[in-house]
Amino acid sequence: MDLIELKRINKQYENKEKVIEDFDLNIKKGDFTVFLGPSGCGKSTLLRMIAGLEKISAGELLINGELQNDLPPKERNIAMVFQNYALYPHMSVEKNMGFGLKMRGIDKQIIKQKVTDAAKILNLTDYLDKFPGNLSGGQQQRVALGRAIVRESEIYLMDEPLSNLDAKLRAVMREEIVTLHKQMAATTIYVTHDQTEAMTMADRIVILNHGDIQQIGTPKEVYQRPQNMFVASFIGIPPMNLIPLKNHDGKYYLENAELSLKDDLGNQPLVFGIRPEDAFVDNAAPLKMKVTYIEDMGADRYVHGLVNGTKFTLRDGSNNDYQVDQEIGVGFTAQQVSFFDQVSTNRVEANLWK
Amino acid sequence: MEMKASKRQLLLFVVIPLIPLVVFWIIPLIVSLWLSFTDWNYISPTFDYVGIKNYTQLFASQDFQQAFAHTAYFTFFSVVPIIVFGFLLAVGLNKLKRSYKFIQALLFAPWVTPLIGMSIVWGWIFNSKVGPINQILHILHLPEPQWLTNPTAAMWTIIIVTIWKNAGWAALFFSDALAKIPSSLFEVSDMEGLSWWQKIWYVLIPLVSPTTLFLVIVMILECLQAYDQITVLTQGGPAGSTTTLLYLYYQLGFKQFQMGSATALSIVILVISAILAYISIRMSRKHTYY
Amino acid sequence: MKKVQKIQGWALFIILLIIGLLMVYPMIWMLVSSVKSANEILNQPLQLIPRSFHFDNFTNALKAAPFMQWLWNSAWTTVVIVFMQLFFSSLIAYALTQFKFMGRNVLFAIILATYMLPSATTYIPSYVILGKMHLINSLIGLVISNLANVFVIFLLRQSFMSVPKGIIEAARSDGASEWTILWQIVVPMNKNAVLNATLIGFITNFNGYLWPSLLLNDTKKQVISVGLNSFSNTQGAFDQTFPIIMAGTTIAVVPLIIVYVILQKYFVQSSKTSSIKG
Repeated sequence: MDLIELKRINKQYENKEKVIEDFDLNIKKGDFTVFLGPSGCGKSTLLRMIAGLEKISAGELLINGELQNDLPPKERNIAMVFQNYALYPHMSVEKNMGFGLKMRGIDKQIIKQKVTDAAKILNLTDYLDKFPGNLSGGQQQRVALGRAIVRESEIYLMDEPLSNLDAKLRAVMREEIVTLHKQMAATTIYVTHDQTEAMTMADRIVILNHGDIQQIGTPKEVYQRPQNMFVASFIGIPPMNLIPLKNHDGKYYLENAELSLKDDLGNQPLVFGIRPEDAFVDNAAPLKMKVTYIEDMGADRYVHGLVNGTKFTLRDGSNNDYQVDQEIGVGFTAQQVSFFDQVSTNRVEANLWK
Repeated sequence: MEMKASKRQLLLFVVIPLIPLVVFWIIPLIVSLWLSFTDWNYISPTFDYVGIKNYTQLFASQDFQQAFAHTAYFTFFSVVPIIVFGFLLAVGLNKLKRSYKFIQALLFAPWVTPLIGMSIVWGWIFNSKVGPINQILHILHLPEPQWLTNPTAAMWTIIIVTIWKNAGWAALFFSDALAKIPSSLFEVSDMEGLSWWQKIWYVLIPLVSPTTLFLVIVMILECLQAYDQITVLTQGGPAGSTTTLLYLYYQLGFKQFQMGSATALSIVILVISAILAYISIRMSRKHTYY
Repeated sequence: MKKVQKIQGWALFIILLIIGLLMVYPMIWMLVSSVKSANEILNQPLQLIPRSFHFDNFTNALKAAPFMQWLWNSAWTTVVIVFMQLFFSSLIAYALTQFKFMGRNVLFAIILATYMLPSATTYIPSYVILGKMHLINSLIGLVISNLANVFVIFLLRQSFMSVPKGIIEAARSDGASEWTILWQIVVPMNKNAVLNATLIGFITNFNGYLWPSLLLNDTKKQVISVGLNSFSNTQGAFDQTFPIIMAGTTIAVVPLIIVYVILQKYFVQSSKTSSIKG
């Protein structure tokens, strides 16, 4: 039995369209699960339904096999970290962290011990007497984490906890949260729209769009084998290049070049996908791209261009010079190619000969 | 970069616009202080310096002591209900989903209408024979106080009118302060298992405390300067029972023309106000979390 | 569960509505009484719908005292006072936020200090000063002695501070004079604060009583609050004169109720602005 089970969950606000329809998901104990998707995809709503902050319109939420639908938040043994930290501005760091325990009538000495321990883990020992208003964003988020930790809940929910921090601090906090997760061995559900966070932190990523699961998998799986064109274009910076294939007499053509497939797909209309790092400059190749823009990232470059009017990006590690409007040939690694159905946009399992 | 102002600009932007402030605020404040050390009686062209005699006489006089006690009583029993009532109204208003602007407008109306006119109306509402309040009390078989002629009841009449005027106004401020509390704070307290009264006690009240402090100070100042309802309803009576410090000042200065004592009293009121203003500034620095 | 919440919501709404109606009960009662006969008031003071309408109460009140003259006096002095206060205060607030000059901080400290002090302290010397100017018992004197308003300066200064420096600098580099920048850029950008100051100024001046009652003696020269109170006092607290007093009070109060109903949403919003603190 999995720790959290969501069965045919629905969410509908009064007289509005359904935000989430028949959502199924199981989460194993100890997993770090990330809900990833663009804003408005329903990921926060799902999290808030698990927390008990939003009513579940239909379906069942089980934790440890027990129905949770009508339990108030405080009876679910869940701790939550909010995007804006949600610290009580009138309480010191120590009081903030211990408040939940105090409300549960825990002994003062025990609270103090737990808060001290949590503060040690989070490097907050020197700040226990300070007020949230006097802390930096990163410190405030640590206090919010500390408040969740001292509760020793079975489940931690985090709603975009790093999105108010600057880029450098985000990188630091990502690492801290992952380390913390390993130490605590607690089940965590983490909501974000930032794929870097998802890729670096998750055991399992749940990619959502319009309230529907697009793909569930490890970071590696969703990156290498995107299950549909949405995932392919959502994951990866820059995203996967997608070019529709032409089909004559049972043969597939990428622009002028014929692609020889191992599998017989009949006449199914296909889209060809290749990640920028799996494409390279090869002037002998039949596929031609007109350069529009070169983006130098320091370690390597992205060469952006148009393949017969469709945008295409490749990563280039060479020191060659390219000019805007220059025509270059594009080669790619055959093993890394993905195919999608043009109509359903779902992944099609097919391989190239070479 | 701020610009260094030329002489012409200073004249236009600072010196000329400041003339009314200097002539009718700054100079009068200084002159009041000066007059409070004299025995001027407004009519005679000459006067003598009497040192602090006006103050010692004032503090020793029964009129002053009584007025001080009345002011304290009036202020305390007006401000506390205004704050409590205003806070509860705001909590209620913010729980409403619809029609809340309309109710807000009703609550705020007393602050806008002229207090002189409305006090005249209140005088009739409180009329012990024909006023609706005693009529209702009569129907309910409750005691019917002589609102305006019994000393204790008269003070409470003034207090009720003062609460009526200001409670809705206070509610607006609280309602604004409550609306500014991020909803995630209430969600956290849900997750931490707070009951509704724990939420009010541990979250709501502390978070609106800067507003509460501000309202308490402003309302005390308002009570110190209350005049209209007193002059219409009781004229300080019966038997001086509703004579506050400000009303005594008016009587001393503009009825008895004891300018020395009156200005001394006005300086006392000013000092009380200044102390309150100072406390409020100090405390609001200490108690502002965000 | 949902049903319980809905019922609670309605109960709360009704409680608040009742409190709201109680708050305006004196106004309603005043309006009702102003068209009742004396006998009806004495016999059925709780009756909210008059049995017969006696509009002659109003004609009698208008005959007994120059209410229209008083309303006019209040109206024009209030308009002039509010306008001049805004004019002077804008200049000072602009100087406080945009100019560097000696004594600027001292000036602001003085303004901050006077903000909370009781104006009553200034009455006796102000009276003497106006006497020297031969402006006692004169509406001009009332206007002149009210030209300074520390609250308005304070409100505008707080609001002007939020104007981005870049906008002022851009205007200066476009060659605009400080005068032009103030009236054509800063004031329009702060129209909310200006509106708030206008409304609050309008209320306090139109409803003001103590200072004008000290200053003005002639019946013809009264402002409405003072005139109304003396009218009510001269009629005496006799039951028979009650309808005419209510009619007079209605004449004095109704203009404000009308203004309030029209501008209600601005009033509610602007009252809160006075909480902006340094």
